[in-house]
Amino acid sequence: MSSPESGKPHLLEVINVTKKFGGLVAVNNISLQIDEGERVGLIGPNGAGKTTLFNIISGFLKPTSGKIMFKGEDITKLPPHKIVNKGIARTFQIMRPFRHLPVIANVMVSLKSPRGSRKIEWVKTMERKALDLLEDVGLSELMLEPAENLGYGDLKRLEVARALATEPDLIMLDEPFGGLNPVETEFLTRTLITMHQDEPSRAILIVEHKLYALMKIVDRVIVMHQGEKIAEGKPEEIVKNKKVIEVYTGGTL
Amino acid sequence: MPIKERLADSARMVRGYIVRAYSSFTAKVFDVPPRLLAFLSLLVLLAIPCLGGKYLSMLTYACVYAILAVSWDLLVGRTGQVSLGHAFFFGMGAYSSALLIQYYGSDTVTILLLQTTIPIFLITIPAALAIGVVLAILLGLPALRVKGPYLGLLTLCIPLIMSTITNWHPLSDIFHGTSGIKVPLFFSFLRGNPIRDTVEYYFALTVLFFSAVIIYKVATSKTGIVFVSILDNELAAKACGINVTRYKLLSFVISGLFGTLSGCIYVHLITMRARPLLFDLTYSFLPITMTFLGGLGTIYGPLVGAFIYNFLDQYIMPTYLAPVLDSMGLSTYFGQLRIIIFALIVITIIIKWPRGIARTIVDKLDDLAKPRDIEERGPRIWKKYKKEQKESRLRKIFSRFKKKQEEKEVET
Amino acid sequence: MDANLLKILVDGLFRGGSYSLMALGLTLLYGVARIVNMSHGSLFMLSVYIYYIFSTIILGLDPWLALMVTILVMGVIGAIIHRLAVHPVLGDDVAILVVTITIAVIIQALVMMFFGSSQAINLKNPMDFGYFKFYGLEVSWTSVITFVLSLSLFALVTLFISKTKIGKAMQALSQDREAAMLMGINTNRLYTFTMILSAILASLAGFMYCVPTRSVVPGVWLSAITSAFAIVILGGLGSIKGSLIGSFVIGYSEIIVRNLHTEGMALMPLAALCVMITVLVIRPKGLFGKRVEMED
Repeated sequence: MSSPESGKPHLLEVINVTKKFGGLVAVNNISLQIDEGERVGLIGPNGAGKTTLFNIISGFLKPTSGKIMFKGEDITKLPPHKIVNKGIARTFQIMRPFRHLPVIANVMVSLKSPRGSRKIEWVKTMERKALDLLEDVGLSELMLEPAENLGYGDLKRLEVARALATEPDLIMLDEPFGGLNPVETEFLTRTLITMHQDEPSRAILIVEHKLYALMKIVDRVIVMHQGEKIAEGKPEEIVKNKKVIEVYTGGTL
Repeated sequence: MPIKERLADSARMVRGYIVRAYSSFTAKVFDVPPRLLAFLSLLVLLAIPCLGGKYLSMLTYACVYAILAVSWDLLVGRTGQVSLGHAFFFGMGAYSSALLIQYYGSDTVTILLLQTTIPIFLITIPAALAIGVVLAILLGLPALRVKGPYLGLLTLCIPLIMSTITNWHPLSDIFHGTSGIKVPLFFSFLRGNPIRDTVEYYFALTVLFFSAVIIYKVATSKTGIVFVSILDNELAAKACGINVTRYKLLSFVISGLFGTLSGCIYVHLITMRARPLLFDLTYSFLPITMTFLGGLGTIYGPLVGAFIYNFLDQYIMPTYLAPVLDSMGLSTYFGQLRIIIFALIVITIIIKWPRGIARTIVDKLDDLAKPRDIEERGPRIWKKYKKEQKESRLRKIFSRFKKKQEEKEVET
Repeated sequence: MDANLLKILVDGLFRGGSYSLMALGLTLLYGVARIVNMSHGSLFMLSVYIYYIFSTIILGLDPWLALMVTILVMGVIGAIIHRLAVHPVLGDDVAILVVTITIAVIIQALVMMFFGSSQAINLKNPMDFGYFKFYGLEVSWTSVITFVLSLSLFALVTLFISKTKIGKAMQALSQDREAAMLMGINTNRLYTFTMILSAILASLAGFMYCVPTRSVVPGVWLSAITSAFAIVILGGLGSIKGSLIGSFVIGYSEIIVRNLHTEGMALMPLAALCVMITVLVIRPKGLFGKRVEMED
């Protein structure tokens, strides 16, 4: 199935994916598509299965049934690091920095190193690339700080930098605005918008609860509830969608 | 005029170099003490024989154990895979070489092509190393599937297997039981020569030096950083595109390689028998002690720890503890008491300074030496990104945000 | 029935029984406190020496009384070890492993200091009622009594865990530490209690295992802990019924290995080791164990 605009296949296709944990159905027969350069938001109340879906797409979980296609390839069974190499990067809801390494090394680990590069050159080129990325997210001064000393907001930005370092075609952000104050939220929003402008072919998939920040970034929103897709469309439509409102408020107002 | 400027310039350059040499980017990332210190200590070590070689044998022991310790630390301190059975590699190094020599039957090998006779260990040691690599892979593969405490258990029991097999009576034709297999010494041709101790010491030191340098190179390469990232957070490492399996195996192989090397050296240089004792828990515990005396997760740590340990064990203990015990008539307890004291030291270190003594000290020194000025904290490249740029950017964002808030308030 | 086969069956049974208490102690400690106690075997060994001290050397007490005293002493030792060495490093898996193995080293050194390295000593056996014939096989009453005692104590402890308040707290703690804390359970005290219980079980196991053979050597702790861990890993860390079943599986494998060769006795640890390695590689959580944690 390809997008109607061009004959190209979708960048990411989730086809009838179901994930069961014993008796619990976390994800129920979900299908979605993301095209090159699209910015998609994934929202839904807690427990809707969004992070599970993330884990399945990024290879940390295998679906009970269904497929994931990326750039026309079936990536369902691939291990996480191979999926990263194919071009999907993700951040985590729970912070997972490399505590003992300084910030810049955190980013350098994710960088794709060109084959056959000698050590000195590797360090220099990677340094530059890492510094650029750190500047994009605003962490350049902290570059030598051990990651364990970083504050919450900075850690979130480090996650984004680390994900960007892998030069992904699709970057998936799991609640990037979680726990950020308004200033930090604004900064991150701008960063993400700039990121898209710099690299228009890179697709973004964001799971987020802070709808006001999310709606500024994405072109399309998918709503999940209890493991199923219940709505999909432009941000303006979704906010008015009755079903979505019901799901979030637990009943009619 | 120009001379003064030039002098000032060179003074600044030297100062900059010293500052950078201590707190440079690579030093922070790769956990190495100032290179100056390392160089100086190397000089000291080289000069020791001239200062009176009474303790040469102690230092030779230290060098050999240091290789074992640094191999252990690469695995445990850098990738977080706990090995409580490094004695396995130690003993297998000894036994592989010994068995090959025994199988071949003579102490020397004649190479027809070159028309020379070379000592057999020149062949068996590389062979033993190769065997060590294979064993490391065999051990590393199941180790991958096993985490934390389970891994510790697994590694604890592996040497026990070898110890049981080599001690088993029916196999004593091959393994010669407790007394072990006799093995030719490296420098047996120097028997009776007073220079022998010095030669052995320099030899051990050289092997140690090359092992340490190689492991340092590994630790400061991308591989080394990846190892640390695996230690910190395996899941995140996977999400960064790192093939964790491959790197874990690699760390096992390198660690096993040098552990095997230390066993070979030990048996060909110091003791001349490969015996089941080598698989004892003692030899698994040694690298642990040494690494915690020094510093976990560093290059200098196990090295420093090895020398401190040997100093304590072979000098302080006999000189100070033994006489005390003698006077109390408890001298038979010396051996066990030594072990107990070291074990207590290890426990104290783990509880109080979980990163190892030397490392805690070095970290503290690093903190103190860190330049207060933010701009000096990075390499020269960073100078482009000035503080003012950041402040102005933040100010712009904040003012824009404030304006929006004010507009909203005006509306409502 | 073939006499040899019968001997294997009976010996394996007794051996499994004698391992059951030790395995229980180990699995409980892990289940409740997530502590992998490398010194468990040392406690096993130490308790026999303490029993020896109280029953023969120093006080010459009645063996049963000596046993009671031993249990008391071992409980205290367990508490001390926990408070001083394990408690400060709780949560750091690597440190716990190293600390507990260091304790094992210390205990071995202490014992070797006072008792020499390979002296087998003569233990008083209060259950020595001689032998009886069982289908042509000579079985000692001691073995039968220890078997029955071990299993009864095992059942007793299991009941304790399922019925009493403390036992239920232990169960809660083993399932979810934070939830248990929120319920007002004093985790630290419970950890200490579990450690004491574990030490007592180890000491009882030591008594049950060594007294029938009337001897013990300091080195026994290593093979004891190997077998114990093999059992616990096979059965699943934290699973009580796993440790029971595992005890017998390992007990039988060791007996079978022993009978494979005239010198098979020395190879017995290999049986436990092979089982352990196989389980770790194929199915690390064992038969009934909890899932090994995936998250960091």
